[in-house]
Amino acid sequence: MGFSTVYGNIIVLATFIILLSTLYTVYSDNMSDTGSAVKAQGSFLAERLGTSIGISEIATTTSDNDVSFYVVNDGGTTLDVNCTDFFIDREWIKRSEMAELVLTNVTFDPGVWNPGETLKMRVDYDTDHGAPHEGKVVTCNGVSASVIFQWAS
Amino acid sequence: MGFSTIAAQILFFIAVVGISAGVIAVFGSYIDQTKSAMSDKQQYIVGQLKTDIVISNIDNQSGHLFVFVKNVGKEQLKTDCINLYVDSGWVTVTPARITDPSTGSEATYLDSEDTIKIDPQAAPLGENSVHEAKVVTCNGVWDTESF
Repeated sequence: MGFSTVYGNIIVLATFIILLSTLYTVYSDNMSDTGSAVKAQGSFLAERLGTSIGISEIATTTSDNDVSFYVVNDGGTTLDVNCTDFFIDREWIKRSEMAELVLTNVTFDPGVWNPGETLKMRVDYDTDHGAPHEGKVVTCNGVSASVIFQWAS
Repeated sequence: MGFSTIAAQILFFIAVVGISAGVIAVFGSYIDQTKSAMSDKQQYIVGQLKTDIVISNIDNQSGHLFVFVKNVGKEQLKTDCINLYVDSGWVTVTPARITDPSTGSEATYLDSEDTIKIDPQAAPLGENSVHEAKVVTCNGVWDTESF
């Protein structure tokens, strides 16, 4: 094997290694970011799977049009109250319209909606008292519960 | 090994480095383009993986059709390219009709855990049949809901 062949091979090898290392660096960074994103996706999917709420009671007071939702966090995920959505008859209840939005049985960690705790939302909602209505609650991670209720006679 | 041999080896080495650099320079633009394409694709995939939406409510009564969409992912979403399909038909939604339901003002972005109200200029659909709404985000993540 002559010198020219040896040096030719060295040139090809050096070029190949440099190009490969450049691409590897980019690919490695990309895979790291993608890995983080997959982890984030897994985390919010797991969070949703662990989330469960139930509307344990809807109390109504016909005289002053008060509707109170009692929603229990019966899953294993700690939830945020501030991004929980309420609907009555498919109509969005604005936060500013709510007369009350409180956790009723806080045992620890106030400010967040822990498993086992009940969230109470009270609103003045004027609607037909004779017909059945639908109440719906949607948590921050998209888990929902709904119930049909009627005004107390 | 004599001086002439060492000098020749050095010359060869310099020549090898020079030629290698030349070859890399020739392929450099291809490498840059590949890097750029890989980064774009990666950003797109990461965006998709972090995106998730839920149609939390559909209000199809009282002469209107409102679709409430909640961002349950970790990515802030732009609202100007959100698409709404009702019964597989594309529905026109102008940006001004995508609002923050709390304030009623136009929502340009949909942050994580926030909700938007889509108010398409479409008549409410017949209440005696089942319909389907589909919302597609800018990066292709979608959710459907029957109502």
